Amino acid sequence: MFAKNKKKILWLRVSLMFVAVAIAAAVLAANAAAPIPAEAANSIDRQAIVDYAYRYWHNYNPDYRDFNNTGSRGGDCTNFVSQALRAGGWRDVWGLDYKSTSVWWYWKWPPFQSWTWVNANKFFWFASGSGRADIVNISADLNRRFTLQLGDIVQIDYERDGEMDHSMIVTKKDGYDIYLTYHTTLGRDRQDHKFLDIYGGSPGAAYYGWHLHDS
Amino acid sequence: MNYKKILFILIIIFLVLLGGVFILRRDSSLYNPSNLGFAEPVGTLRIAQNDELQANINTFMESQISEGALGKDNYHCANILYGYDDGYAYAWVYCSGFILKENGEFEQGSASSGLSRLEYGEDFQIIKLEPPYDHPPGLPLPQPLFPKKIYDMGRPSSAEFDALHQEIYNKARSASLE
Repeated sequence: MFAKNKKKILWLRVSLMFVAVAIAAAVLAANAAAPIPAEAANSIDRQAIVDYAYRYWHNYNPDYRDFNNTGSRGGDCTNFVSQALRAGGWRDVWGLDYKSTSVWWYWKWPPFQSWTWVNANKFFWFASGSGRADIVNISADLNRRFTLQLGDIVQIDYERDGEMDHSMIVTKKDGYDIYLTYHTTLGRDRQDHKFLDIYGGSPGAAYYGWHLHDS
Repeated sequence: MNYKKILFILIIIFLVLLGGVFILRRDSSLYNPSNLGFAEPVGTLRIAQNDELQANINTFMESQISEGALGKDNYHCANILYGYDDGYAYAWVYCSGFILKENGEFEQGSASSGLSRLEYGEDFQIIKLEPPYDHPPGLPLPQPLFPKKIYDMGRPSSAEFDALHQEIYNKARSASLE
C-alpha cells in the first residue's frame, strides 16, 4: 500500500514538472517571436525605430496584435509606438501589476500586455517616470518641436483634459518641420505626416514630445 | 510529504492561476475590439468590382493631398474596392507622394493607408471622403461608417499592399517621364 502511494506521488511530481516545463517552454517560444533586440539595455538605436515605423506603418507586423477599433479606448497608435521603441532598444519592464504605469511589457502568448503598452495616457506616465525620456512641451512653443530627433515620440491630448489620446513617431526632419508616422483608429495610417498639418487640424489640442535618452 | 498535501498544494496553485487568468482576461478585454457600431448600407450592398468607381476614387483622393505633404508634386493613389451601395463606395485606399532623387531613384514621401467610405453621385463621381480621414484617433468615432460585411473583409494582405505600392510607384515613374 505504502509502496503504491509512493509510486503515485512520484508520478505526480514527474507529471507536474513536465507540465511546468511545457508551459514555460511554450510561453518562451511564443514570446521569442517578438523582435526583442539584442542590444544593451540602455542604448537606443534611433534608425531602428524609424526603420521599424517605415516597415510596419501600413503593413502591420503579424507578431503583434492589432488594437484598432477598440471603441472609445483608442486604437493601435501606442501599440505601434511601443513596438518601434522595443525594436529600437527599449527593454520590457516586467511587473505583475499590468495596470501600473511603472511597467511596460508585451506577451505574444498568453495574449496579455501592460496598459502602458497600448494606452496613450498610460504610456505618457510610464515615459515620464521611466527615466528613459525627457518631456518637451510643444504647445508652449511650437519651435520646440525642432529639438526632437528621429525616433522621438509625439503625443496629443485633443481635449486638453490631461489625458493623452494619440501617439506618433518622429520619422523625418527638415528645415521646415518634423514628420510623423503612426497608426490610427479606423482612419488613415500615416507615413511622414507633416506636424503642422496635424496641428492645423487640431490647433486647440495639447502637444507633447518625448526626447529619448540615447543611453 | 504525503499525497494529500501535494494534492492540496496543486489545488491552491490551480485556483491562483485560474484567478489570475480571469482577472487578466477581464481587464484585457478593455483593449480588445468591441463595441464597434456598423452602418446600414444605403440600398443594396454590392461586393463587386467597378472600374469606373475605382478610378474615380483614385482621382478624388489624389486631389486631397495637403500642401505640406512630402512629394506632393508626384502624388498617387491606388485602391482595393471592397464594395459599394447606392450612396457610398467602400475601399482600402493607399496614397503616397514620391520624390525623385539625384541618382534617379524614387524616395517615398508622405503617405496614407486606410479603409475609406466615399460618397458618390452621378456617373460614380466621388463627392466627398467621409471622416475619420483625420479624425482624432483617441476619440470616439462620430458615427458608424462601414457595413459589417465590409468591415469584416479586413486589412489587405502583404501581397495586396505590395501590389498597391507597385501600382502607385509605376504611376510616379510614368508621371516623371511626362
